Amino acid sequence: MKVKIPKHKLTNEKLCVYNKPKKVYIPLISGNDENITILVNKGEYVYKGSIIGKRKGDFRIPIHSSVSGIVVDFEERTCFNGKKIKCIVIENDFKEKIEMRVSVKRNINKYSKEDFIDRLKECGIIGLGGAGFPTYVKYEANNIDTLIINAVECEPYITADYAIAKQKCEEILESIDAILEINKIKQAYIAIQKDNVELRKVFDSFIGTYLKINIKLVDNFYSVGWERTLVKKITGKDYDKVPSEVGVIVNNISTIYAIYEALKYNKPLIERFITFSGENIDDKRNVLVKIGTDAKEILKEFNLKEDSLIIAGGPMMGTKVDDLVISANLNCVLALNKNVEQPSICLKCGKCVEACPAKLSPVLIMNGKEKNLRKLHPEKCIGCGLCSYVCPAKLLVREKVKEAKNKVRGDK
Amino acid sequence: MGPFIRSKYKTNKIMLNTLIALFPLIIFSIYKNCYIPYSHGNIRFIEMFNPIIFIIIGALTSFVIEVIYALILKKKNYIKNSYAFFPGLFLSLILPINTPIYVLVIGCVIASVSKIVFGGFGKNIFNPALVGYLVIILFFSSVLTTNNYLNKYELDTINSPTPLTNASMVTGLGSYEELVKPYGNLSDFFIGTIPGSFIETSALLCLVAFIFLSLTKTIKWRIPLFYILTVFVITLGISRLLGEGIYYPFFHILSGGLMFGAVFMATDPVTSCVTQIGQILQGILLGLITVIFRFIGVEGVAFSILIVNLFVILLDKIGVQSRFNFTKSIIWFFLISIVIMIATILLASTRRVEGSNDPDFELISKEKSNNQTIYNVSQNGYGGKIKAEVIFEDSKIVSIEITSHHETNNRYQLIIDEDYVNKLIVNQNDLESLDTVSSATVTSNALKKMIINVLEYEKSN
Repeated sequence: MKVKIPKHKLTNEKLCVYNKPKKVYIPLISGNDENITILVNKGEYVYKGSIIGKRKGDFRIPIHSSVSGIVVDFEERTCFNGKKIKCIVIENDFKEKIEMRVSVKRNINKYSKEDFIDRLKECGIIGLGGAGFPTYVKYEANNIDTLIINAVECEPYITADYAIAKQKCEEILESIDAILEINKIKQAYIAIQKDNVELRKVFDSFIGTYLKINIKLVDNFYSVGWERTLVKKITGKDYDKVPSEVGVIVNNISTIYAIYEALKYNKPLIERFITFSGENIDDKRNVLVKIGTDAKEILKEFNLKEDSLIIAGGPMMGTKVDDLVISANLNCVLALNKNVEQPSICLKCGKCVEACPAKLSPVLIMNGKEKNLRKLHPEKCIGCGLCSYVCPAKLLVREKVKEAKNKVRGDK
Repeated sequence: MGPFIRSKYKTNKIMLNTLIALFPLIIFSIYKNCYIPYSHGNIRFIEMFNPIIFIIIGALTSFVIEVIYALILKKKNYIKNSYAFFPGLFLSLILPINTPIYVLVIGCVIASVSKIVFGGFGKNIFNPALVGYLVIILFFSSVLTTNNYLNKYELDTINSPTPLTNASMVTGLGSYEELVKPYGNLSDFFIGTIPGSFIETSALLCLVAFIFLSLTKTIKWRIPLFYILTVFVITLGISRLLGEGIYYPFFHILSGGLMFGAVFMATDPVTSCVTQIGQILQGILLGLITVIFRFIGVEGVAFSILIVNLFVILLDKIGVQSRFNFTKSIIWFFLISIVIMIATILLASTRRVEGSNDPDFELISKEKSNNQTIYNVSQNGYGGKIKAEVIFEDSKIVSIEITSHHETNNRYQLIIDEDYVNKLIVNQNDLESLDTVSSATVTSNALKKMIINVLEYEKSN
């Protein structure tokens, strides 16, 4: 069953920049990994773009400062996943000083594959769609023949990708072209939802000169933007764990622009577009925000109503938070009305089973006995929230599946 | 926690849609069972409202039982979410129209209790209304004689009970004349102007309800679709094997509670499969069991739904597997289609020994009441069909009455003069040695053969 959800997309196209935070709180998290080595001390002066931390373990991605100023403290702040994360607090001196000026690259196609991967790593490019997976890792795979650019953004309210795609269309196409040439990838598909006519028109007017780049229209239902669905739709192939198994890389369109800036200006990932929306703020728009900014500051500027429900992320997959610092893989901040619907009793209507894009049977997972859980594969849940959305009894189905997922993972 | 937006579709809406779909059926049933008898002067005006009172009492009984349950366990919000009146409502609809109120009340209590013992709404394994129905059928069979299925007007005009009880007399197999003719033709079956329990007769309105409920995504549409399809395929197979007409599968899908049961009872969300493949398998299994039951001679819909309720968990297991890996479910479909083929052949081979295969003999109807069995039969005589009513009592013929004949008058007079009909009764144990009437050999021989055929028929059952 393809579920259509009211989109609540922004209609105004005003973009704005919020670059005057007094303090930034750079979260020491990369993707879901909190194992970060801190490379600065209290009282130290850091430049905009300085490396202040580095991820431990397999993916040694650096973490950059988004302002110039003095490290004043280490503090725990709530992050995109609703957890308290240790943050480096930097007091902004508003001078935007950069440590070392690197010349602008005229032709970004002239990278070798090694240099390309190094550059992505140095600039700390991670997937901006949500998972925050280090991008360079995807390009380390060989035998890639298809690049899919995810411009679907099917979750309601969110238009951050859309905003950047529309503004920076030429740069994005240039970036895709460079990636294809550097990595010797045969073709690229930009996946756009059918009803997003405007974005299609924008790309149509520039795409002519890029023969390897194609537009692919996908259906309008929610969860079509899931990697697995997109790969299946566009190439017809299924994969087990990662798309590179079938020679495919999927990148978010915002990530593609971040790659462009990294290649062209050597710019690390220190700011991003974020959708501020919801019925409880007056000004709904996409804002270019420095990583580490306190989201409450911006919400207050947009006249946040009291007693609002603040959500980090979209309304389907997001997390309820009390306060929030912006991290790289956050794409949306919502202020909604608090209206809690009383859950009633599961009547086994099977709507969640029909809705689940991961082919799970949420109702059985929810009501099932613990020893049978493994056969129901709750670990395949992608957390899209469709099961809870369609539930006529208004039960928190997704949360129950998540619990089961953790149980099954804990068993292993 | 999230998601922070929810669809507008609520459980209330599902229940409301079900009631909306029931409404035309109830109106039609009141028209058929109350207005028509009233317009023919069979009942008084006030009696037209009996079914409404019946339904209200049923629904109320169930509701009260669950209120008591909620009060005892001090579950405050339980009643708000348990849709307590549904079991009684459905039970009151599927019972014969002349059911005594006390039987209804007992049934409703049992229905609701069967829901409560599993832990209430959402947890019961068996369809509550059907559990009540089963208990009534088992323990009140004396109260629910077949005549209870006829409304007052039908009692006057139709002399055999519902099409399926009639069909069960001939173990599921019969000619068009036996199965359909006594009630009109197939379009009467489709529209629903045939005898049956209160709500079940109109296939047309059940179809309308099915379309409405499917479009509003209220029911699991795969179950009724595959249920009715399976019944159709099996009975079509049987009719092909036996050379019966196309009326036969249609007779099966249009009669009894099949349509109503498939659309409203088999799709009860709580007691049906949640996975798509599970739902399809459930439908097929229901169809198979229903046809088998009909051949055994009981109305199969209610019982097959209850039996399949037991297998729902198992079917969902197959459904879960095939969601991850579709090829795994193919083996089940393969298996079940083989079972269906075998069942079709076996059921077709149970065809009754038809009056020693005498092509001149025909059984028109058979009716059982207490220890009496009344056969309406015909035999080709000298000038055409001789029709007769033969009454058995304890497997002995007690009366033979010629209802119509086309024999020449003087020959027939000889039969009467000889009191040949009486001789047939007297010599029923040794008819072969009974002499024919001279000068009326063909006619008397035909009568003799007719009785031999009827006797053989009575023995074979």
